[in-house]
Amino acid sequence: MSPDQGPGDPRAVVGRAVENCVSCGACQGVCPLYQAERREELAARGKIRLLGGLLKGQATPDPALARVLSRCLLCGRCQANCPNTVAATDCQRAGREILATAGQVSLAKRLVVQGALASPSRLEALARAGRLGAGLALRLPGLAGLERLPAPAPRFFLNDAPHEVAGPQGAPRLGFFVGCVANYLRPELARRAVEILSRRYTVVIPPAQACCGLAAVAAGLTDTARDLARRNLAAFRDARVDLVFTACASCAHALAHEAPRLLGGELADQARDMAGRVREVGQILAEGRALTPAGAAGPVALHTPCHLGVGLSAGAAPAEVLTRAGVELAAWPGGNECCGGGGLFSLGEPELSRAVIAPRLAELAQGEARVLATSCSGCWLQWSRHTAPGTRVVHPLELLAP
Amino acid sequence: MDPAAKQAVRQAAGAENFADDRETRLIYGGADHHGREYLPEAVVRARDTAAICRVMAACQAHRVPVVARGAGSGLTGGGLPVAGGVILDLAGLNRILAINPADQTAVVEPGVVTAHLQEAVRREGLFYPPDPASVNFSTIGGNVAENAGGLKAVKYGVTRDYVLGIKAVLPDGRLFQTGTATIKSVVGYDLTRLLVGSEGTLAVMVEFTLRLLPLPEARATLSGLFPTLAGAAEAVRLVLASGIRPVALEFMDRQSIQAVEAYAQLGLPPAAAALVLVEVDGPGEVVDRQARELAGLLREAGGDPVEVAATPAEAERLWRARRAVGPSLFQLGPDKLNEDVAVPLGRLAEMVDRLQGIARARGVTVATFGHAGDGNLHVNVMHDHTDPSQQEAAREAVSDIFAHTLALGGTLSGEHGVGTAKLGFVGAEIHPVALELMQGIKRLFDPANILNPHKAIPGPEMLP
Repeated sequence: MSPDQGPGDPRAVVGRAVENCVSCGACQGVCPLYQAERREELAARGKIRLLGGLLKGQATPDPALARVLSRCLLCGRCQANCPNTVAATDCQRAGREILATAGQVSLAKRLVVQGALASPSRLEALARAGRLGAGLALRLPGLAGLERLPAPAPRFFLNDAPHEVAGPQGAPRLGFFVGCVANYLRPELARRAVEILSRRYTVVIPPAQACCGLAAVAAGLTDTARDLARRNLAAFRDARVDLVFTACASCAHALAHEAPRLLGGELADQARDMAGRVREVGQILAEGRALTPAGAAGPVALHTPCHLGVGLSAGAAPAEVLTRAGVELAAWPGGNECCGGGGLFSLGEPELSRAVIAPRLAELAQGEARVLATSCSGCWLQWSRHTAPGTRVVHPLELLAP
Repeated sequence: MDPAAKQAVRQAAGAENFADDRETRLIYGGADHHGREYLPEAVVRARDTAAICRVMAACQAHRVPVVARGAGSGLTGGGLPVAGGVILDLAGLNRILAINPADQTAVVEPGVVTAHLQEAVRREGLFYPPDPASVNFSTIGGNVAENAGGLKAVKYGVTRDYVLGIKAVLPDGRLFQTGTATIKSVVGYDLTRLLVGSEGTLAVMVEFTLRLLPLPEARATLSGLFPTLAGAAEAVRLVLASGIRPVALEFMDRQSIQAVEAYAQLGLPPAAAALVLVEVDGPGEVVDRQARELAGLLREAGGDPVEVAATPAEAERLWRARRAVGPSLFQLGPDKLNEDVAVPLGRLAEMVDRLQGIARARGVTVATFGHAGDGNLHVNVMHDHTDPSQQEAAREAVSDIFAHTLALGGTLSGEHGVGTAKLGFVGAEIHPVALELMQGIKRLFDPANILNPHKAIPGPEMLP
């Protein structure tokens, strides 16, 4: 155990959830996986019972248990809606940590998280060799639609990014946390973010930043996640910024909610302070003057990522930014529902992931929108893989004039 | 279950719908109100009626207990596999088979979530009123098996009042149908009503024909805070005697108000002795007039302040306190014994008085809220179960509550059912001859006693 390890012994987190859960079933009513498949083991209640069995020695940390625990999107809805305020999502995450510590984490997840995301230089080398996609394809099931994602960019954003882009005189300093998808796959999104934000703020882009660590947290690989959190904290602390923004709700959620949990000891205060400064870019733009649209897009289907709506309680921000800019939003009642992406979940559980997104795709097919906007890179990957050909999937920033 | 029984049930269900691994058994297990854990020996996911018929026949042949359940969200242990055996999971049978605006009926499978049905019929301008607190996750099958009530019972009745017909499977595997799709039907004994509230002890219900109403045009909500309990009781009396039939007439006592305030900080004054919440529905102009009239009655009884919601958002704000009360009660103690006794409307004020006396005499915190309009009170005895003296006092308080309820001509459960939690008290309410008839009915439907055994009514062995 390292001296700066954060609070939250996973067994204690699970134990509290087991103690407080009264098995009422309210989590079933909000769980995207349960709604799709109606299987008891998919909602938090079933998993909390199973983890209770693990603590009592009625179950063992084996592949069967790991398989059940892997079937969770970590969307946060069960925890946000629990009448008895059970930390149900934290419990799932802690359960995965217990399993990973016992050696129960799939080779594929370990490869992606520790072999690639946590190690930019290796990822870069793989991409240079053109082997990134092939390497993933060899090892991961459920890759339908992956060919529709862009290849890794020839130059990653952080390779060429300036360390600072000055805004107006005396403007607040905003740190830009780029995130893996924008850095490796979508540098044009990162550039758009810098262009728009630097008109009002000084944008600081610390080159030493790393992956946000959410995939590591989700895989139960807590030591890797902690290492990433430590690197990011150091990078942004040294940049002396007023706020930190991302163009990804999941990265923002990880920096705001996971990092302070992971970092304790002498880093605890710094981690909490940094966490309080984190925003998804939509939250910052919603507070400023109206922006102008990037041209006529036709009606836009706006999707609210779970980590924006549930995680950051900021689900209304993108709609506010786009509406004020004059972008026409399509009516879409399912727009606040989960897309079934869940990071690596969609690769490990392709059928479940597909079952969650299927009703959303049916709704979209009936509507007029040919552009779908979402503020999360994980959701962007999921929508890009699954939407009908001809649908453009973007971050809301890309609908705004630079 | 011996290997032959398991093999027979597996074959009847189809191997892909049968599980007896340790993980699945743990997931479907549960604890009763004493904390005793029960695990099923196997779980069957029902795919269709034919499979249910085969599974039941196999279970009866091998004397395997069967607990049929939907969401497993009941409050009295109805879904617990207390005798082991099979849990028959009906949650996957969740199709709305038909909505017939001409008949004003819907035909549904047991796993349909009640709120999903309400939403689907609303789109047709129709209304399915039963509204238990679990409406967003509990299923029609479970609602019928427990005869679920809810907030709207004062005007619209309970689940029983909306079940016109049922298709069900007997333990021997025979499928049968009771009732019709008509509002009136007097041919034969009313087996439909017998099955409603039978807690899964008589047959496995696989399809329901439900009665629907036209969707009311408008709603209005009002609330009043009362400095005394007597004032609130007077308000309830005045509303019920006014000639206006409210949809909901809800009540919260001082302990409930304080718990909600500690939990949700809604700005409720801690000095208030009671909160009364009223909702009316109907044509817009009538609803407005009725809301004003009822607000006058609440003020006349001493309500201060009395608020009438002008918008749906304001109505939601008034309802927030009532909705928060369930989870907020843990502010008063780590454990609760949650009873849902009901008394005749005229005895309600007396019952609330007696509850306060019980709390004082037993030295426990009792928070009471609930459906004043139908006499159904949620009485929560808050305590810490790790302290033996508190646990004992809480149990004694519950016995007192039951005794006083029966003395006032009430019932031990208005809407939660008996399950395992109240089984030991049933004999105190049900006439011995009636109980004998019930036991005979159970034998007639389920001679091998495999359907949800040890629930709903005590067997002869449990009686003195």
